Amino acid sequence: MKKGVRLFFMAFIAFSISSCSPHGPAAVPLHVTLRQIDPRPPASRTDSYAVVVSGLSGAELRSLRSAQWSEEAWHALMRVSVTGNDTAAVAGRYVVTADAVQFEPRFPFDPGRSYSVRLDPAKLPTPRDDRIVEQAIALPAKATTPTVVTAIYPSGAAWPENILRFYIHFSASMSSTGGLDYVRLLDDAGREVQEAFLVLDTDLWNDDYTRCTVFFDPGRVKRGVGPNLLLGRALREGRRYTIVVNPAWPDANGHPLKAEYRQELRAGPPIERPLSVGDWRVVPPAHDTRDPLVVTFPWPLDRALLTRAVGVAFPDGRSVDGNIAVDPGETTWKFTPRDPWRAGDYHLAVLTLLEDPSGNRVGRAFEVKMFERGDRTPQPERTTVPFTVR
Amino acid sequence: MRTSLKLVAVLALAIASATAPSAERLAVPAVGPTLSSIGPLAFGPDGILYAADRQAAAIFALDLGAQASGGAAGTKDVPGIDQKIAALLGTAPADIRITDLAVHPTTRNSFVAVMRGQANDAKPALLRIDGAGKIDLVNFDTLKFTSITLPNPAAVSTTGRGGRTQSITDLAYVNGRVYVAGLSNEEFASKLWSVAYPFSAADRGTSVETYHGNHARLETNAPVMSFVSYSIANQPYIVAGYTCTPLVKFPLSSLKPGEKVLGTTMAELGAGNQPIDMVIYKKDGQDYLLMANTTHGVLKIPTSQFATAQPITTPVRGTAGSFEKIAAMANVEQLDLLDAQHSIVIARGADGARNLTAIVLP
Repeated sequence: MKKGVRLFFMAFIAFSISSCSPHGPAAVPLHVTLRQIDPRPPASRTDSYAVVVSGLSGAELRSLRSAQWSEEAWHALMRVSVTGNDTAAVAGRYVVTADAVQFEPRFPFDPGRSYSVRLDPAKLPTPRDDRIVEQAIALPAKATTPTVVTAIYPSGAAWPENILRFYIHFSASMSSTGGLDYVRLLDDAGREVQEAFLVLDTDLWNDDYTRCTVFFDPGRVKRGVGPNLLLGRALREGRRYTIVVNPAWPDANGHPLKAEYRQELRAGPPIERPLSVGDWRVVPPAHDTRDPLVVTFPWPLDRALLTRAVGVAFPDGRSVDGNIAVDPGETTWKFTPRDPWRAGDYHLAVLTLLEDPSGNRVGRAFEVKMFERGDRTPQPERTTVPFTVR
Repeated sequence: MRTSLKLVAVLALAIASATAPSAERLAVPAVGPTLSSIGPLAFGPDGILYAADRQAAAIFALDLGAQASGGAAGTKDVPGIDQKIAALLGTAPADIRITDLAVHPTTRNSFVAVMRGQANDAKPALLRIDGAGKIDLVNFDTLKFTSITLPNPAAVSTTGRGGRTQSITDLAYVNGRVYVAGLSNEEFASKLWSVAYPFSAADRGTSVETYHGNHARLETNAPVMSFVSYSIANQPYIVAGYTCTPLVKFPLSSLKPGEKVLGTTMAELGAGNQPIDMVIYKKDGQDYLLMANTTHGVLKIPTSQFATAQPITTPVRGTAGSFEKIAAMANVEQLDLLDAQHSIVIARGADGARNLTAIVLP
């Protein structure tokens, strides 16, 4: 066992047999431990622990090494299962080392979970007349601090009634459990707005599971389709609502959130027109400074997309290195260059996939009038806004 | 099985097309794939298993070799399959997520894709259920495979792609190409990406943006949640189920790179609902589409209407098109075709456990 690693052995019942053994009265009792095994490829196994059986004689180890056993025969000798769920043995491999037999699980044992080991000495190639060893083992549970909701975007107090999506940010990784069971939209009387959100059988997390995307049901957002005609939009202009996040939502360690989270909002008029970079106010900084370039939009844009779909480039197309900040309210985007601005021409580079929270993109509204668009040619992938630093 | 394509988001990033393919983007044939995540799945007719890896934004083509045929043929029902898989993987049922179910075209064994664990610690697993109900963990270490990476998400900022991820909603092998549909956690676009198989260094795939009419005045795009290939009037089509819940057809020939394609809306299946899986089958001389949904259960849809249905171009209250709800198939979370007479499903029982069950095709 590695120094500093504490293993908790639950229900410690190791029995040994010394009499009646064909290896003589001096046979060492069999002993089951949990031990960190040497790193070996693939990398996913480097932090694995193995169940190790010690006390086997050299002759027993040699006979096991040459036994060519099936999985079933190994299971009969030594079976590792999740405590309380013995519907299948834990998958893994059995390795005979110089002084022990070890069971290496295919997936690392979960911290804090109890596993049961059943060792039957009568199933050794030369059976020992010993009692069956049954022992529960567990790695210590991870120490954790409660996870909280840190923000919901859009962060502004007014959301357009045709909003398509919002983001919930957490302080730590969440479980992959879908969020809709834990997110509710309440109206100004505190009643839940039914069927407001899109039920998906896929998760919409970021890479580290700290941000969940929630879509409003697009069928209620889109004008003239069945759900919209039957139910109308979930948000109605002029009314007040509250987004409520239930603290029962499990984080990555299976623990609930520290507290309920509420964000109040007011439904504003729908936004049903495309983004137009010509409507943006671009304030160039002074040369020889690292003052931010400030771009202001007429209405809030999608915060997540603002961090990757807008950038600054030199006239020859090379990117300017720097940091992006989006002010609360998502109507102001700031770019601070790594190196001071030089006097001269630059441009703002904008991917046309940039959207507002209602799904309106650069040059194309979420809903397009079919007869006003004759051609089916794709939009350009990017557009630019020139500016000059003086 | 999610025979659909989840390609949406993936493709959305078609910007990536501006970058030349590099050698790292395509794996040469090798042994021992390293998947970051797994699901959905789709088999090709020759038994190659196409597995989507959302986390790596890649598609793996797995040659299962002896692991495709080592067990008894067919698939026996497995009650409480989530409990048994969790036990095998050494964890609790709440800590596994079944991401897809696909049936091998010749052995008729069922393959179940699972993510074990939570968040970044989750690891992929593939399990085979055979005709005796035995569950075996597929050993990736010995599998031959090739893989291809989906186009990179577009980004112009120096802070990179940020929090964008791409869920792959469905994939399928059709006439020598693998089609992929997806859904981004940031953009709400609809693109269908496809690439020829075998994967090659010279072909990094193409992407098509798809639209469907809301009604006579408006069109939008939305993610494809599930799709199948199907021949209508002797022409190959993609039949796609979208969020909430139009059923739309595209001629395969219309999916030309760089074009926007307007699909024909053939049916509206109702509000507050998402397609999960779709399969085509034949019964009493007629073809049907069997479609599992999140809210509306399993629907049986005669495909004879696909050729003749008038495109839906007027606002629809409720539903449109001819279909029948199959009451005997409740709480279905995964669906595939087991054989000519049976579907195979993973459904949640009254006790909350998930059961793998063969059901006679309706």
